[in-house]
Amino acid sequence: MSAPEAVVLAAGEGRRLRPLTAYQPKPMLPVANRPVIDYVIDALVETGVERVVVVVGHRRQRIQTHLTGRYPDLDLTFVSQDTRLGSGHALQQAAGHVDDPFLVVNGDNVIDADDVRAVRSRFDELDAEATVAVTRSETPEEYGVVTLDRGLIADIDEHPVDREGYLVNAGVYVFRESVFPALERTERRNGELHLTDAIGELPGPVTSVFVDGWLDPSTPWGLLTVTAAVLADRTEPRIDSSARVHESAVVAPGAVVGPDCVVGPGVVLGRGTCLQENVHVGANSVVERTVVSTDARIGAGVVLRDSIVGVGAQLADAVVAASGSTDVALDGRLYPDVTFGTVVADRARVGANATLLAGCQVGAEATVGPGVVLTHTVSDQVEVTC
Amino acid sequence: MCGITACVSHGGSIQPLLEGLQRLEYRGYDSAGIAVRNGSGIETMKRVGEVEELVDAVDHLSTESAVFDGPVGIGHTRWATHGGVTDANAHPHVDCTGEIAVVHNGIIDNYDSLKRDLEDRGCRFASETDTEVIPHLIEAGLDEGLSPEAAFRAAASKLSGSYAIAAIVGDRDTIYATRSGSPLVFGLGQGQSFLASDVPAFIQYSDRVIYLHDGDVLTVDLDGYRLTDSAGRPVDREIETVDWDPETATKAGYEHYMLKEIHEQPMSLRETIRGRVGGDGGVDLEAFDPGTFADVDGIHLVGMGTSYHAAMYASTLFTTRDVPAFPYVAGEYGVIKPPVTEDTLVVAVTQSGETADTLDAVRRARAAGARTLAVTNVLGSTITRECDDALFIRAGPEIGVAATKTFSSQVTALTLLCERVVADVTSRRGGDASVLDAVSALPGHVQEVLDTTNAEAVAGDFRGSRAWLFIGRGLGHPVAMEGALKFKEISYEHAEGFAAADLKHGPLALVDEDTPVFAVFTGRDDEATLNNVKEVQARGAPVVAVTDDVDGPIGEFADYVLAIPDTHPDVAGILANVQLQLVAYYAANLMDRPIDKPRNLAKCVTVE
Repeated sequence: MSAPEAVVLAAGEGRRLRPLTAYQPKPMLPVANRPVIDYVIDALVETGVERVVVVVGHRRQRIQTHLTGRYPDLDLTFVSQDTRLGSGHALQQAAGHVDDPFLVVNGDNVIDADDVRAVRSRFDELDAEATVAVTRSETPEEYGVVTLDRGLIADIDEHPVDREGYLVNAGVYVFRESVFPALERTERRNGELHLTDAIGELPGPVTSVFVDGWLDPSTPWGLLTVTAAVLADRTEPRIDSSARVHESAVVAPGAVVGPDCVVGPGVVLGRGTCLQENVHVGANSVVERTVVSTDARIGAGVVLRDSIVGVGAQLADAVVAASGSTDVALDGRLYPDVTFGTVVADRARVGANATLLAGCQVGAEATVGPGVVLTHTVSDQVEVTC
Repeated sequence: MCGITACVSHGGSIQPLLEGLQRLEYRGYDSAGIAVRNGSGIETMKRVGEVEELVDAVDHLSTESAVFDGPVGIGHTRWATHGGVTDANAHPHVDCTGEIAVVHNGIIDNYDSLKRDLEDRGCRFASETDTEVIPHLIEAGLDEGLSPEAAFRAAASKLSGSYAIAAIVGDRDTIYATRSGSPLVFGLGQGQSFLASDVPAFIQYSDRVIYLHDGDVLTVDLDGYRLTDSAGRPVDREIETVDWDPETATKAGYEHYMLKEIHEQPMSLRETIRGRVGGDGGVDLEAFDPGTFADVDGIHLVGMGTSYHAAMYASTLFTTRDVPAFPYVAGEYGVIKPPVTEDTLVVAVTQSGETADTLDAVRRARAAGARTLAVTNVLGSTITRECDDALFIRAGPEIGVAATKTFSSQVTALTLLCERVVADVTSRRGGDASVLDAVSALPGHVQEVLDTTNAEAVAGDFRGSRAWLFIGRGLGHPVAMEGALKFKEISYEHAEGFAAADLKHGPLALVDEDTPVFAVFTGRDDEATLNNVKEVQARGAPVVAVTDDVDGPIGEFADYVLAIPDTHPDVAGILANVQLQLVAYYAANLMDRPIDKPRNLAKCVTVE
């Protein structure tokens, strides 16, 4: 592949990450203070991609504004998927905007440049019709499980009933323009057009390659795990030069403090904790393995573990979000025994001395009154006073 | 008011010139033209309309006959001042022989007398423009036996007014350029050089630039360049590297630059604020150490258009903190001649830093002994050289003619300046912590407005209204004025902004059921404004309240609410303005207006 171009699929909402995705799409969620989609674009740019078509949909403005500001040198084109009818339908929106052959990458998974290189060189080696990256997952039932036949893709099952395959589709592909007519021929399932279904319709062999840089923050605790994995090798904390951290605060290696943050005296920021941008943390708060998003305000004496705080959320003094092993339901599915604290979504407010039990979620713009012991999830914009 | 470009390139100048003109269209777009020198002399091409018309004409010619190109060329996109919008009045202008071509941005004040002299000497004029005297003056110099450069210098020395000029003279592959009061920047590329009114014209070819000063004369050819002062002595100007890229001037998937820029506000405000809200509750403005303003006993704020509204806003901030401050329309400043002393601080607010009226006001203030401070978006702009100090708003390039993100950043930067000045004047340490907390939360609050706004629905429901009225009190007043200005600029509809208190004293006669009234509530004196709302409602007008009091009395009385987050009254107006930007945008979009290039307007007004 010379002069490579890429399509980044970034139109989805990330339903299992609700309520964090009420106002921002999943590709914009921060992993170690950088939106997921930045990892994708960096991987592409590092391997020489100069032109990227981004398919946007849910809260598209966030992605458009961010990427054009962050990547001024990159030739970016945005196309809109106005109704979300599956990954195949998303790719169809890019038809006519890319030259043969081209990369297609999910915008909501963390990947690295080696993954992209592997897919490209496998495609070039065997001059295939397409190449699909595969990887291993602990939860293959969540992904398209890939069946291989001597290195060629034999089948991708989006709804596997058993877990025998263990190899899953990592969402990094090379296609030719033949994918567009193949998509036309592909049958929709429940009204959705899946990119993986179109692979069986391609007119030539589809090769595969194993990649291991792939991480999918598909659930709130998954976001924390992915963040921890990205920061695992850090031996120093990373503190932005415009942040003000009180000399008595303790910032662990593998913690990240972003621009304009203010960290008060006696604060402890543990490994895997990320304060994104313009976050204020009051005196003596303890924040461990927790993601705190831009503009959030954390009072004094707050304890947060294994939790996620959304953009502009406000936690008053002495709020406690404990972590524990708990069962969590997301998008109609139960996840038993996950180790997790809480989600306080964008612009939610939690009053002083409130306690949020493990597994509770506070919706976007919801309010939890002072002293409340929260034992259940609060929907967006709802107020809980006792 | 116009944009000029020039290019010297082995590879041909036409492509960079046309691209440059397209990027300069924000400076004017009623006609465009180009002149190139090649083996057969100087060829010109001019077209009424947007630069696209010119590009089509050049394409057409190039496919039909010989290629229209040459190693040396000049170009121009016009915003008419002297003479109507015609092909003849479009630049470049040539002399009687057709051997000299000139493009010009600015106004030649003495063109009338120069023109009469030249006509007496037998020159024939083809246009009604002031510019055309320049090629004829150069021609006269050549006739007297001067070299092209000497003739160019002699012509420039006869001009009074404001100008940036680029000229091609005779059979030399050289461009001659100079400026006085209008912007001109030189770009040094690989085997090619550029001149333009603004950096975006050539940034994709070169990021190494020299900002010319008034009186500088530049000669540039394929071998290099020479920069001299008006007397011909060599001058040494620093080559600066510009760090922004042409891709920042793309629409990023938005339908218009204006909508893109509205959505950029959380990001641009973070840049405005970054590092400036200090840890001890004070402000940290790079150039201004504590105590800098200790002697200030009064402030004049000058600006035009949107920048004037930012100046109004800031003067109210200063005044309510007991620092006497007055806003002036900059174009009136030299007319009114307000008295100043050496302890008067004159704050010049201008996005581009090139606004002619504002530059004039500053020159007058300096001459009268006042201290001057520029609040601007553009590094290296003329205002930063004319003023004693500069505070940069760091909003990034703004392409939409209707200012949006730069207003928000101007007001925010002025709010921080106010904290610094008040602390210095009153010798109090630190600023007002509650204001600074609100400033720090502002980018997120603007994002909240963008995430939750119902402005599109409001604009749709009032589609076809006879007039759109905006009222506000205190800091809400400049916001109402700015809301109406935005509306006028891009929708061409009748819109007016008033002080709410003044409503009963005349404007109320405009009010009926077909005139929606937008009332700006800042959280201060809201009860009085609510009484004004009831007055207009009693006359049948629908009221749209911009307020944080969605569930309280204001939300109850208003017919529609545009909600803003609860914040300090000093910054609530910035959030209210974002809602009004969106209403104006969606209303204009429903009417299919050319939002980024409203008729008769230009981004940067470099003429009085």
